Amino acid sequence: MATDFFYNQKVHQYSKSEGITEKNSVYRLGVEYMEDDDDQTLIELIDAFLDDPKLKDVVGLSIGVWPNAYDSDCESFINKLVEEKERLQHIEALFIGDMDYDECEISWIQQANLNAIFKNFPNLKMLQIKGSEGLSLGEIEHQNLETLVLQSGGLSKNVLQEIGNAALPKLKHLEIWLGTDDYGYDCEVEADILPLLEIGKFPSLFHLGLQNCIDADDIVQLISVTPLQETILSLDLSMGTLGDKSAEGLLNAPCMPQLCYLNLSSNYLSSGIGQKIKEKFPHIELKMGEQKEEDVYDDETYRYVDVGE
Amino acid sequence: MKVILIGNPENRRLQMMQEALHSYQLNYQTIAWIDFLSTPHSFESIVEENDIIKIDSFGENFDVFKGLLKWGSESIKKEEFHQISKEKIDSLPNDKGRIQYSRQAYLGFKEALKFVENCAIKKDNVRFINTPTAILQMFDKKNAHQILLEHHVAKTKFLGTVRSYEELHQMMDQAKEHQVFIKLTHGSSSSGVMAYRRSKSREVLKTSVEIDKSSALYNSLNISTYRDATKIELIINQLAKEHLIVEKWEPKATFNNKVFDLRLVVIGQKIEHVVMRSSTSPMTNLHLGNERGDLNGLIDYLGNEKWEEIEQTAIQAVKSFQGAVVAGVDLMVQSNSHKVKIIEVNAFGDLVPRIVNSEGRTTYEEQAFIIKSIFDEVLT
Repeated sequence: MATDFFYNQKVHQYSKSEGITEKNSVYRLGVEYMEDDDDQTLIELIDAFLDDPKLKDVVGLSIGVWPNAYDSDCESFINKLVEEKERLQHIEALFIGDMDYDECEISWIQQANLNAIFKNFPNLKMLQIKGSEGLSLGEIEHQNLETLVLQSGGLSKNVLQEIGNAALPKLKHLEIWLGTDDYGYDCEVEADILPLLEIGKFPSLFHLGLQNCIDADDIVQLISVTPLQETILSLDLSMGTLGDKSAEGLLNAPCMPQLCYLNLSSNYLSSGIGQKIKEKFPHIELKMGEQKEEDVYDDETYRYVDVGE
Repeated sequence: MKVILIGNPENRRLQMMQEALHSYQLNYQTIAWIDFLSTPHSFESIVEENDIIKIDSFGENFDVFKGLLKWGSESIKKEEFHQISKEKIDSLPNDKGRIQYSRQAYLGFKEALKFVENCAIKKDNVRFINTPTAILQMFDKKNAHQILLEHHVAKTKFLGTVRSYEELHQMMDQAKEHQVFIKLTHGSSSSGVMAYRRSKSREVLKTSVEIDKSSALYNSLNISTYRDATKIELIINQLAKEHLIVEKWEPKATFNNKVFDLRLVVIGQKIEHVVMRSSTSPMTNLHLGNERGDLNGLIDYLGNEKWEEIEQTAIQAVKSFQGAVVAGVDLMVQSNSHKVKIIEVNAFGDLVPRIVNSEGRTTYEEQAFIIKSIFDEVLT
């Protein structure tokens, strides 16, 4: 199973035999992972789910493992959801690719063009996507989306540019895992991240996460000199390769006085830098969590993102 | 009337058992594996009627390993697995962590246990905590799969044995499996376990096995990830010189966003010592430094009915091995469906330090407690 919780609720695994039993609930649809005695396809499962008399009780829908997710993309399931969109308009939160590494490595998940999700589900408040191989979002315009989470072990700049061009007036929470070039990350920080920080781009933005990034130092250097929109009160730079030297820049970053929350956990930071930030900005709830240590091979030092493969 | 412990005296599992027997004022005699293997005939005079024999692990002692290789040097000749002749064994260097001759050591272990069994049969009412037969069945992962299958115990899927990387691919194609665990048929705990997956465009091997420049294989405490097909092929072909089994890699359920499995120690058809092992890597084995999870939280999450199923499955698994009394069952709960499946049953799986039952007894103290009641019965 992948996430235990989604859209602030426990995720229930949907099965034909049990059906929908919980009100205001979140259900996951996924095939039993290559079970011999289980030949139900995901399309059949979606059909059963749609025919369930309590479909209206579901607020969140998560698409888990689809057959051969490491080789075959999810296009047919997205098309199916779009075909049946009339019956799914009450769904507020959607997750595409909800599987953990034991089921399929994040960088092996074969995504597809998900533009139709934005076009056909205008009531959606939250969209989460795991895996970015083969992913494209197209021209994004959505009047109600509040949360967009994109988890990747290596994001391509095309996707980042699509987000940079998006029209999402109600977006409050934007979380992007950028990953590493070993798995498809090819962004240029200045060219591809800066547009996301442009004031007025996401007028309602409250939380920005630029996480799991091999270029975390460059991102922090950018943030250290770029004013952020004043609605942004929460910043997450965790899971990356950030070191003390770049993190020092945060001490003079224009966004710091406005922040209430800053997450720097799972980087390569000393406790000293955490202390400095705390002293200068006592109003910020700073999360340092556990920090990683560099690997040294043949006098070369290496830093890794939390999630790559 | 006494307890006979066969094991490595420097090993803490044996020491803990001795302490437990001592605290219950039970008479016991320890036979070091190294002494048994070099002078087995003196063992015949040690066994007396009504004795209880506990055979413990031979692991982590290089001289004992060499002794077993000698015992197995005849029967291995009939096979093609990695082997060393009797004459060369004494000069074998102690290369720590090296994986080699696992099949030969097993065959030697088999001969040694047969000898123990023959000594026991000659005296009245000698009992075993785990009969030699049960121990050997558990120590042969291929055989153990067959036994669990025959007894209809839910378990992970056994795909077969392989002798090469090429055979492995044929097997995976035929079975339509894209991810598997490859294990030494006669390996203890995490020794030589490899998690392998492939798609149309790539493959990856995660394992505690490391390979050096001369292609020698070593167990490491770290998990390495290999993505280069040539290197993966080399490692698998090298390891395939040992006896290997292949199992389907079935995704485990997560709890607190980490995959977990369970070690349940079954003692006399009861389970009172459980460890939950959670990890962000496919190898959830404790020896690789994974954390112990929040067991009570997990039971709450799974529900009492599921927990009952877990316990019953583990008890049934141990029952399948004739003459098994104490075993450490590794069990997984499958992702999504929460189906319960046995991963393996370990004959020497009672080492779970610091875990006590509701009576405050460790696994060793619980065994001593049971032995005491058996002795009391004999005396009355």
